[in-house]
Amino acid sequence: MKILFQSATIFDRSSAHHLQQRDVLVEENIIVKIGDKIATDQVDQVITSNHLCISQGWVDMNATVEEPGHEYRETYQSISKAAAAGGFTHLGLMPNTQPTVQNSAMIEMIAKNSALSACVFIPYGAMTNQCEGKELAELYDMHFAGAKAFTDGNSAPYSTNVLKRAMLYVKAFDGLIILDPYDQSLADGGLMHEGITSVKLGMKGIPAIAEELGVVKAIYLSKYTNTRIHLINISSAGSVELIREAKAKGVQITCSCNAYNLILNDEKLIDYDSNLKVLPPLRSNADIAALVKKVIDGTIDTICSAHTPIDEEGKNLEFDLASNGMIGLQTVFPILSEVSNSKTLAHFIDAISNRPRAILNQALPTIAEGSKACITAFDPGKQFTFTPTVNFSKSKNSPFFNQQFKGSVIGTFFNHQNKSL
Amino acid sequence: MSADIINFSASSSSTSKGETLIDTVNNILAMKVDMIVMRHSSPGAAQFLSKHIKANIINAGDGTHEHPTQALLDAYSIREKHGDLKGMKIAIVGDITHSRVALSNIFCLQKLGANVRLCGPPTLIPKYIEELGVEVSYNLRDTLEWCDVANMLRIQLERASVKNFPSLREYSLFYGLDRELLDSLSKKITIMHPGPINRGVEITSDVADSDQSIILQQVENGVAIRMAVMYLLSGKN
Repeated sequence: MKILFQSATIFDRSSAHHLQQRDVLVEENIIVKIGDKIATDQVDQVITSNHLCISQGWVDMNATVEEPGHEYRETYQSISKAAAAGGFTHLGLMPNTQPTVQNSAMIEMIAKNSALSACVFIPYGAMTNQCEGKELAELYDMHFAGAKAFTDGNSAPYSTNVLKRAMLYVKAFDGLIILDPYDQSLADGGLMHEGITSVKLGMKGIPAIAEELGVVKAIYLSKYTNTRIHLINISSAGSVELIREAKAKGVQITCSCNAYNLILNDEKLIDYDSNLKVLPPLRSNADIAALVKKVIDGTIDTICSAHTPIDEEGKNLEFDLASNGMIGLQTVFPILSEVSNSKTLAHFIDAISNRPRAILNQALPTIAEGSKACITAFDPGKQFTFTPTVNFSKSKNSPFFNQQFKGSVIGTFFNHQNKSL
Repeated sequence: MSADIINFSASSSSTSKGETLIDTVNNILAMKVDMIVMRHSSPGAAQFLSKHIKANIINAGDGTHEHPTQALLDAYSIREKHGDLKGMKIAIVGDITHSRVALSNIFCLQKLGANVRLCGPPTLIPKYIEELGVEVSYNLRDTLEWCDVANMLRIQLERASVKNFPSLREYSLFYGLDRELLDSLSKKITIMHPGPINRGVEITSDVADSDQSIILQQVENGVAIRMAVMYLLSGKN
């Protein structure tokens, strides 16, 4: 099968064609030709769009699948469809399933599911048994089974001492610890970002320091153990400043923010919409501005979906009783199209393509003749409305339904599979 | 007011058996209820209901958010005693963080032109509340000297208040109002309390029962105000 991407702007810093407009011909999973004008005869499918762009397939470092345990919320099959529709070819999956991904057999099971899917599942093993933050899981064994990182997941409890132990232990095999620096004790049952809006809504606020003190701890532990650490769910301006300073001093720290934190502020909670109940919480406009700026300058390495499927019974409740999280795989790029412009878009694409691969030590596919195709096609100028009809997740907990975005994903081309193209 | 009333409390209801608030209220509505008066422990619960069901909803207190009719009756009680609220100095003392009365009072009193100062231990005052245009003080005597009216909030023994200061004894020593403190002030101020009172904690009995207290007038006015709210919402105007 021959597929031609016609007049596509190429986003790939490792390619000689970076930011150039080219025709790209893919045949049987290999990029066979890149040129100014490739003939369309004998081509099976021509991909066109007004502002067609292609990049290396996208990687999301923070997604949650609910299989096994809560298959009614999300399965490997449904999440892979949502991922492909969202432009993602690789998903880092949180280990918080039931049972927890905490042994080599579970890691191998994820790899098997990956082989059958349109996207690659990057397995993360639990850092501690049951993700309870108490006893180390079998990290070495999981590493040899293919675990690419170790984490207890989003907003999990952690003891500083156990975290130190895990960071020391993974040095033996240059493992990566992924940490949500959220401090449950300081959050103290808070329901949303602490600020004037939380005061007006009568809801207990989560102070930014509940995240920032966790960032400080991670920085010091990384220095002490001389181990790399990746922080997810970075949402406050204070956190990114701490991380910028640490990176400047050579600390082996990287971080992610979530796409929704780049566009939604805490004032959106005025109607107590539980689909906006998330951790990290929606923060202030100043935080949003800082995050966007720090994605562009590279302080924030990656952008995640923080895809968290929750069934209606977990969301259609009084705000304080509802679960945290939103689905997000299909709205990452639409959000990025809103917060970027033609000058900054390449930085946002970096944050979902080459930068997460570098952190996870994943091979970097290149858009070059002779390379294997791992491509996401998108159009930053093609309007997109996220509706229940186009939602591939089994869950519906998104605040973005019926919202119109500037940009759209065209599809992914990867592993002989051609999704949504 | 001749209405038929169905009483319903969460502890004896299906909400403790896994049924959601929407299910429960829809069942009540199936009985063709015109109006719901709801007190609920979740902030935003009244708003949540209003999005899902068609009935007049009176928020009788939603968690730590608001208690609108309390604010109306408090404002009415102050006006009954002092006349126009414009320029008056009203102090709200106690656990502001966990109080639905405080927030509704702030909004209502400010709308009527009064100046509001909040006083209590720093652990019981939300960090950003000054952005509402209120003053904050941690010193009770200074606050009482400043104000014309002091609304002494109830310490919520059943909620988180008590974790935020060392002991009720210490609270009453530094934020409780007794007769000696009241009499030492340079002017006679009016004392209010939304009830029920923890006598000897936020105010002593001799303050609650003094001629400067309008606590029982608040209770009486509460009946009238709530009748008025129901009457207006029932559409029989």
